[in-house]
Amino acid sequence: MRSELDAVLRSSLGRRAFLKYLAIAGGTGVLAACQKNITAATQGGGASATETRPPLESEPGVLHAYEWAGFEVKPLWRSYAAKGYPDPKFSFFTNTEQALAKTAGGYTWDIVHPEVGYVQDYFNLGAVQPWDTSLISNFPDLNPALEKAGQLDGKQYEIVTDWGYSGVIIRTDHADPSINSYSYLFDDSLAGHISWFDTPWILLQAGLVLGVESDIFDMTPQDLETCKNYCIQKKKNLYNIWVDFTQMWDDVRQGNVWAAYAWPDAWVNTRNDAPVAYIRPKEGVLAWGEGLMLNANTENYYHAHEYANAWTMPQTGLWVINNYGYGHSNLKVDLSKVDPAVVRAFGLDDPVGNLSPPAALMDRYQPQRDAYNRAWDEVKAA
Amino acid sequence: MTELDLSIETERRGRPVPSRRRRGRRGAVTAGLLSGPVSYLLVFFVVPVVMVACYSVGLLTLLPQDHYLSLRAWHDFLFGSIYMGVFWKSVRMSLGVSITSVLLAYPVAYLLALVAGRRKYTLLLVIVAPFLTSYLLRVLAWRVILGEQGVVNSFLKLVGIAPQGWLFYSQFAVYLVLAYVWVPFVALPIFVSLEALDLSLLEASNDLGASRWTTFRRVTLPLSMPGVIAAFVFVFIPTLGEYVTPLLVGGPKGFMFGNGIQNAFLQGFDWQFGSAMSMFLIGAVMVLMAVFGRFVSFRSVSE
Amino acid sequence: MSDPTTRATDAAISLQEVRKSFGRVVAVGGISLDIADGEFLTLLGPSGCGKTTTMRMIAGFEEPDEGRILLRGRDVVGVPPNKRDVNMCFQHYALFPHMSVQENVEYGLKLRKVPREERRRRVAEMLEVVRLEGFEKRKPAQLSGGQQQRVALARALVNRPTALLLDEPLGALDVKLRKQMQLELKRIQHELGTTFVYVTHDQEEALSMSDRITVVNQGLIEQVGRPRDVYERPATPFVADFVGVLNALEVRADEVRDGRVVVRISDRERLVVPTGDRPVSAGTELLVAVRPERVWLRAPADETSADSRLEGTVRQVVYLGTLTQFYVDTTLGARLVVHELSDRRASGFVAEDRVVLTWDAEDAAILRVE
Repeated sequence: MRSELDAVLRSSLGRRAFLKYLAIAGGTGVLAACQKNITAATQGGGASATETRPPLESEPGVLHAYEWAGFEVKPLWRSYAAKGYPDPKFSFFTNTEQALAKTAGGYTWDIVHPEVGYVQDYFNLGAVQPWDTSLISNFPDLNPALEKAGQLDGKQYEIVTDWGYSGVIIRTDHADPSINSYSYLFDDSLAGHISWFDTPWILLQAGLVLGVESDIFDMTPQDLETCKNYCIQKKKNLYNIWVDFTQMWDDVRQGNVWAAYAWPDAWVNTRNDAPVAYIRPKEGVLAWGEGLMLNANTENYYHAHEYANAWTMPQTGLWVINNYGYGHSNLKVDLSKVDPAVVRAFGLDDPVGNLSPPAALMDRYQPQRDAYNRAWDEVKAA
Repeated sequence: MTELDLSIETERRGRPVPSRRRRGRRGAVTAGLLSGPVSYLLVFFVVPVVMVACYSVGLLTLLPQDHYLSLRAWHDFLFGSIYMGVFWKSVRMSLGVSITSVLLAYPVAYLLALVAGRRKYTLLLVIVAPFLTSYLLRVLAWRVILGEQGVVNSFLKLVGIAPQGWLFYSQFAVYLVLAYVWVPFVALPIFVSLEALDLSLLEASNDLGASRWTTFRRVTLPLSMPGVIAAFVFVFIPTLGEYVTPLLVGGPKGFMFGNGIQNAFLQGFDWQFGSAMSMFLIGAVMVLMAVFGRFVSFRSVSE
Repeated sequence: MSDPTTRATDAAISLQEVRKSFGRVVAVGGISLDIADGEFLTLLGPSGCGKTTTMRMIAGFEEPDEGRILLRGRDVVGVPPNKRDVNMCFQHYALFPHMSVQENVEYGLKLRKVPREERRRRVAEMLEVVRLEGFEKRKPAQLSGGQQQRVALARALVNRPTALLLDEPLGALDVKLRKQMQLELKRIQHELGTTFVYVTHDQEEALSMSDRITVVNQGLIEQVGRPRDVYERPATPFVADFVGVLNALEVRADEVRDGRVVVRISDRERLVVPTGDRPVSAGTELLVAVRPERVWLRAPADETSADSRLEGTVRQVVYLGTLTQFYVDTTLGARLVVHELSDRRASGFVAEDRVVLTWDAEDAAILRVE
């Protein structure tokens, strides 16, 4: 077989043909990629919304929702289904970076569900248009602190639907809850029992502990360097950097970990098995929100709004809190149906206050994402 | 193929045979049969790699922040960053893992090929069976063995020794788990080369006065070397880019070159940088293959 | 069956009542044999007769279930092969492919820590003996079959063993080369004076090379003797059939006179054979054998004074170059084979010719007495 291939390649005719096909294939591939690039760029910034929009009845009707895995379940859009609209088609991304890259490459959808920190990124791609909040009946009931995070130039580009904290979970038998600071994650006295999550936000938390001057979401290079070095210095205290949150829950339960970067669901799932407390640090707990964004060229404009409305229903909110351990943006969620301990952990008794500074620092667009990631890589590599 | 044609030509020396045409027809059939796999390789392998290479220098761009036609990514990677250090760390780890797996796998292969007798293939099946389970499960299972509350530490606690934290979430765990995962793979080429060993060679060595150990050292080992080297290369190259296992069991020190690439694409948004790193890895692997190629004649391995 | 030509003293190798079974299969049923120093002894027999097993027991690769094996008077049962002073030459040479000729041949010497200079000298000597001077640096893969065989020989002989065991070493060579190598082996053995124990199933090979032949069948010795004795005076029907072509006739003795048995077959046909010390009297059933080259073909009308005459018809003529074979159906019912040299005195008979087979009494022997 090898000699056959050799024979084909050795004969000058065969070799030329081979190279010719290779060049064609390569050239086509390159052109195709460029083509995608051009289409993405000409998608136009902002909404080139046609003033004359077809009514809901003549829209195609099947919404394409590009979602996190687990957000396709029916209870989240029950009222949408109840109105008789066709079931949406779901596709999934692992994280928003991946979704953004695919979108830049030409992938289309009607609705996507990113964190508020990426609203600007989608806008920069020219992939989205603002919502018409008048079409969403639940909008006035939504948490203004959250919805502000979804705005650009006063226009509502993202309807923020769910949210959470990135705080600290501690074992109260080893750490003092009254310290109430991100310093648990850098505490030498807890050496060997600290667990970080694999995220550059550890740098932000270091920044908060050190009290850096610049905005932690957009630090000066010197401040970033300071935070990085602090993290590298404190890395020796680590038990591990967790990747799978259920493993982290186990380690907390078993007492291997005394302080960990955690979302509130960690506390909800371990509080019956071990003495734990969820800390919303005094420096301000880092909070994240995510919600629905609308594609600039969607053909299902009105359906999308209906879908957003279903998501923002108080019943949906109750379901999300009780099943996923995330917060919901609708202020009218019936808290009597929620476990009081959860209400406490989430600060659901004052959702607006607890999600605004100084209590919470809401995620927002990071202009220097690359620099932050490189710094975080350096911490991990150290 | 060429020899055949020549002999036919000499037979019919009187009459000129249109051998060129014959060869041409055979060549066309061969090209036709090859076109399927070759185009598959071209489309799904060569073209994407070329695209990533173009991407790394900005010939292609995708994201708004990408720099068109710029070597910035390469410059940052090669000169400004910690990633070269991480690369060498990965190289060291790969070497360690490869050597460990070969050392572990050799006795296994030896036992199977030369000692096991009739049960040889059943045992081979038993050893390969773990492959049928999920890779992730096999890696995570080590937590049960090596973790703080795992089998080893529980036993140590029973005997009165303090639990050893370095067994898991550590470099040790990365080496051990990777070597374990690779041993069945590695045992196979060694097994094959040992199986192919002519047993009368061992008898001859014995007959001439060599003890069992000397026979192993002078005859068995050198003759199984092609299989060992093939196995070593087989482990070393994929392990260079390995990132899943270090992520899962490596703890704070578990950051490898592969993780760097993964982060650039998935956590960061720095596709150009990630592409530069990927191309570097591909280049490094090709250089290594060329180096190994000089030491091992692939023909002898394929035999 | 034990060897009648035993020489108890000076035996290089002595097998005494050696038995070996594999499971329920008896490979060697009780062999006793003395091999003299410097002799070329062949173990001859069909496949599976136990000859290879016997050899491997001498080498130490198998252990006997019962019996003793003495090497120069010392019992080596239980001693591993690397500690026995015999070396083996394998059927497929078993040359170490990753070593050069030099390294192969000096392998045994190196293990015995022979110093380098002496090693080189002895290897060069041995290569000269096997006529492979100058081949030191070659690898086995670069050698022809015959050359590989000679390296294997050199490798074994350089250690000056008590005996060299050869396990069908020429089986893989083509006929011409085989004949050449047979002569070579004989020459080398003569030059070095080493005891050679040779295993083969090729009776021609055995006849041409051996000082003595041991015919083995089903784990037992059928006969031990010099090639001529084994060929011309086979002790058992098996030996007669296995060694050379056999013509066997079942007849009944009519008369015993002057040490000869006379069998009257018809008016013009009769058979005379020496009794050879066998208890024969009139009426005894006999199996008589005569070698094909001792039988003459004559036309029915020819006069002859030969002792034995038998009539028959030629069924097939096979031309083999040096000799011609005639397959003749006789009036006794048996088919006899006659060999004639293809020279001027060739009889020229063809198929369907009626012939008379004649031979002298001394050319035949009684194989078996019923």
